[in-house]
Amino acid sequence: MNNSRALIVIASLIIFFIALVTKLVNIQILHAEEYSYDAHRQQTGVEKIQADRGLIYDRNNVLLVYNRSDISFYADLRMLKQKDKNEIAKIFAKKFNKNTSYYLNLMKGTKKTVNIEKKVPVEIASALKKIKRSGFFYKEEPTRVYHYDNLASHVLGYVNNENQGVMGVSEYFDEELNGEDGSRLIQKNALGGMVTVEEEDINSAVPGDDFYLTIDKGYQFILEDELKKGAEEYGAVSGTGIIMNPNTGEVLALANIDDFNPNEYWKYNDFQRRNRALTDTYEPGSTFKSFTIASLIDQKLCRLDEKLYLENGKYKYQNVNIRDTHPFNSLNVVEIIEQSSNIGVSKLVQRIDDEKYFKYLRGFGFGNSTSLTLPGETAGRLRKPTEWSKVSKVYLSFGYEISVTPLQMLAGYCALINGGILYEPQLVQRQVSANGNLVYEFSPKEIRRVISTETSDIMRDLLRGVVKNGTGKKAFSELISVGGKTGTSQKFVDGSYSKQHYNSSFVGFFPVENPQVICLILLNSPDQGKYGGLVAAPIFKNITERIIQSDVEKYQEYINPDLMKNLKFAENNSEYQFQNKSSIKQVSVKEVKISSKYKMPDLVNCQIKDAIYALTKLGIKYKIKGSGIITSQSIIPGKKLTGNEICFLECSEVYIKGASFY
Amino acid sequence: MKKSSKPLIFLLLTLLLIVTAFALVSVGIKLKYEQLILQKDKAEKTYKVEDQKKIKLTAEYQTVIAEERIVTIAKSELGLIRNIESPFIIKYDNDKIERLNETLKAKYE
Repeated sequence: MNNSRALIVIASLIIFFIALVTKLVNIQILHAEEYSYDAHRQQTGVEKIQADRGLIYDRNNVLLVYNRSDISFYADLRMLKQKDKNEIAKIFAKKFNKNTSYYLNLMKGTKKTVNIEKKVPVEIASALKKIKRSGFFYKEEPTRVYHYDNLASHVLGYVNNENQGVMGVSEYFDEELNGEDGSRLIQKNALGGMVTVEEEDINSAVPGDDFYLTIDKGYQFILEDELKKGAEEYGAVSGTGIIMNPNTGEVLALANIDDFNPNEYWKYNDFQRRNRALTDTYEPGSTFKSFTIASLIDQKLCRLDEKLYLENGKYKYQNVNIRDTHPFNSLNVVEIIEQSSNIGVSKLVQRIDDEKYFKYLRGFGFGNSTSLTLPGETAGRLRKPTEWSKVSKVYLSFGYEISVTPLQMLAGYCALINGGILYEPQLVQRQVSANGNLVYEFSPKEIRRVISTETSDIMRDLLRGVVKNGTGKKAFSELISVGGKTGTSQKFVDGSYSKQHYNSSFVGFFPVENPQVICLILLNSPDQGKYGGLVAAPIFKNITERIIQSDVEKYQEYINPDLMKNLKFAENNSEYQFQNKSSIKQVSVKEVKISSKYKMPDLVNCQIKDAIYALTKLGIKYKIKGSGIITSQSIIPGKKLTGNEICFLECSEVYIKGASFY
Repeated sequence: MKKSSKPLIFLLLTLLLIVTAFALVSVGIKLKYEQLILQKDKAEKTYKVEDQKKIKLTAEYQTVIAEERIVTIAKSELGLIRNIESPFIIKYDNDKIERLNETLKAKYE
């Protein structure tokens, strides 16, 4: 009996196993290929591993651009039920302070998938990621962060929605910055959620390289600030400024006004986003005279002390009238450049052979792109002598019949003052891989010698004279020796030269004895004073003085020692005052005296720090306008205090015995 | 002498149990492995986010310590003065001063 029962159990088990084995054979052998294909298709997917884009630093290792992983939320409308839609809308509305109807409207359409919220920071997204509904999903999206918003926007460029670099170094070094995306095989559940990762099928991403630019964030900030202020003050349509190291060709700052914020690039138009320092050309006008004079001096075709008859301001050459803004009877070569005489330069240029003159201009880099590592650079236009008319050379001599980019102009000026060598403008110092290995070191690239060292020395002195005695007086600084050249050119509008629209520019450098910094300022159509010497030169001066103040140690040996002494310790009987700061008052600073807890003290002529201390002690809120010493206070001294007042303090710079206050 | 089939059934059931236990353990291990893989993936993502936060904090730190920011605040809000010339440094030898003091005391006391 027992045996027969056992046999039944064994037989059942054997039948069961046979059935199991049959099914297994069916699945694993007969239909193995079909099932595994279906399973693979449904359960696995290749997921892209986005490579981290490289970081961008300035020359002092200040981080300018970095990455952030944001989360975008989506809804698949085919799968999402109405009840879930309502719930999701409610949660999102609460989180983002929007109406529920806004999200419900988004999820109303006929689209298959809609984006509910784009690029949500991880901190906010973490709570939303917990929502589990079929048809609701999220994706990680890399966001590029430009830490200083508009700062150096034209140099940095931006990254678009497709994670492609557009403009600036972002575009030029897109491949190097981007790295290589990786991939991995993941297993998904029925809702599309990840179950696991196939470890053996991971192809890791290679992060992009980091770039260290030649840009100095401090200089860039000063340039943008002063350019913006200048463009506003003189009512210019736009402005461009570049600062370079003339001895290496390194670009220390480059700015265009208007600019844009790369974090919100879609809000700006093409004009604002275009790097006009490289893409737009202009006729330089008088700033170009320096190249003409340099060519003549280098060829020994003129002497600095020789006098030329200047026709009292009107000169007819080949039936073309050439005029000087300020008529002169005669001037020597030094005075011609200082006073920026068109007639003087026109007469001088006739001494040089067309081909030789052309060779010099080509030598300075005109008509060729500078090869700066930024996209979109134009070469400008310099016609060959065979294409010149009878008056072309004369027009060229004072900066017409040629189109240049601001960058070309400044690169040419570098060669003019650095001893005669043309350098390729440099924007990147080094490229470093994510693990810190140096990939490539960019070094200053010498292109050619254009003029002799002696000619360059002479040009530096001539340009110092322009600022000291000539048209560039407004660029003169008491702090340091400055050289430069002004330029004003009529704009070519609708087939003729406009009498309303001008390009006003100034190219300056400091210190003259050993130029360390060169800067070009170009204002487009200023309406308050058209001359470069009146509008661009003061901007240059402000930039120069701010750079020196921000980097005193670097320029200390070039700062006027007398001025340093006077800046710091004014003698008791000293009559010394800044020539350009005549409006600055001389006062004696007093201490704050608090007579009572309930009475307003007299703060006029007190230092801000003392006033802040006193007001904080009395529990009075304050707002300060300006800097320096307090010149007025909104609450009259001696007034009874209730404790709820806000005291407005106005301050101004003063010059006092003992020290200079800012 | 009839042989009992119990040992055979016992053996078969034991074998079945072992196979089942083995299968269950391997499934359990596989699930644990998958869970660990997911944890690793999550940890990697957290690391990436934290690393990005660190980079952001570096940038913010650089902004806060930037000289132009400090100078602006010092000048406009605190009314401090910028000294263009390097400070005058006076160096003294403490031991020497003490020795001189002792000499003075010894001389005049």
